[in-house]
Amino acid sequence: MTKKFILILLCIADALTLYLSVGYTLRGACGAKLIGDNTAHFIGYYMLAAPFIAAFLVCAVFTVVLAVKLRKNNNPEKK
Amino acid sequence: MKLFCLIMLVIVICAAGISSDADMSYAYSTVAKTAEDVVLLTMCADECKKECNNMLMSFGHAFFYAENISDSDVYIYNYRLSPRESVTFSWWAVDRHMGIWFNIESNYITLANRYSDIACIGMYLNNNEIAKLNTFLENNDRYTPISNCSKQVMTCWNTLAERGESVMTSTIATPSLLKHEIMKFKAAKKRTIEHNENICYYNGTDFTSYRMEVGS
Repeated sequence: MTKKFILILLCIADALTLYLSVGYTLRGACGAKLIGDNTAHFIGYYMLAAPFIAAFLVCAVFTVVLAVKLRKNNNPEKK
Repeated sequence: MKLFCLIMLVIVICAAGISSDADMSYAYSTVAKTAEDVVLLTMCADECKKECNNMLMSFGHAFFYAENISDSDVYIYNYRLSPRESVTFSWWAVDRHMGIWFNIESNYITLANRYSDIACIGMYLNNNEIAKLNTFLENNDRYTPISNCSKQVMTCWNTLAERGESVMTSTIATPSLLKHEIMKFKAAKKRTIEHNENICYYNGTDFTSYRMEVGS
């Protein structure tokens, strides 16, 4: 029961961090550009998205590991 | 008659109390202009609250607005400022140059209608203080998440500040904190920023210029 609860929390964290990662990345991509000899890009929003992308990846790994463990526990004959 | 005097005394004491409270709410004050001053340097901060939507925050921006109030050219970090000309500058995270950029804010205000709720406070600088400002800019032309626009602007302001003008800073500074500090000045106000389309940065030898293209 506790593991299932943790899995639900991890799924929520996954969804939230993915939303923030995509949101800030899109904001960065859709923002203003500076045109000169070379195009310059504002990378502030990408820098903001970076920790959320990292958090999403970490949460995703834990989610998959926990989900696999729970699946094995629920089907002991398949071990 | 005694009662009347007593009531008047109470009213005077209350009025004095209210007046002193009002003065105390302003923690900082600016120094008046002198004959030697050549530049009005204004520190500006906007939280950009209207850009926060769908749970995505915007941390706002802090920048300087410098106006040449003298009759001769003034150089701010090698940027030539003609008489009555003005320039905005701040620290930006841009892939071509992570550091000081000129006139991005002025173009953002004109082209993208950003920074509509800025709080500003100004200080007058003479030639010695301009030299001090230039030394600071030369030594701090870099942007990091910790040494961000707010932190650099606050540190720069404190480097130039005279009595009563220094603002409180913290390890992690934000435009929100800076705006809060600016509002502690009695002379704090919202003001208009003149458009200067010359977006550029100093690369150590000369200026690299750009123009802004606003996204959808």
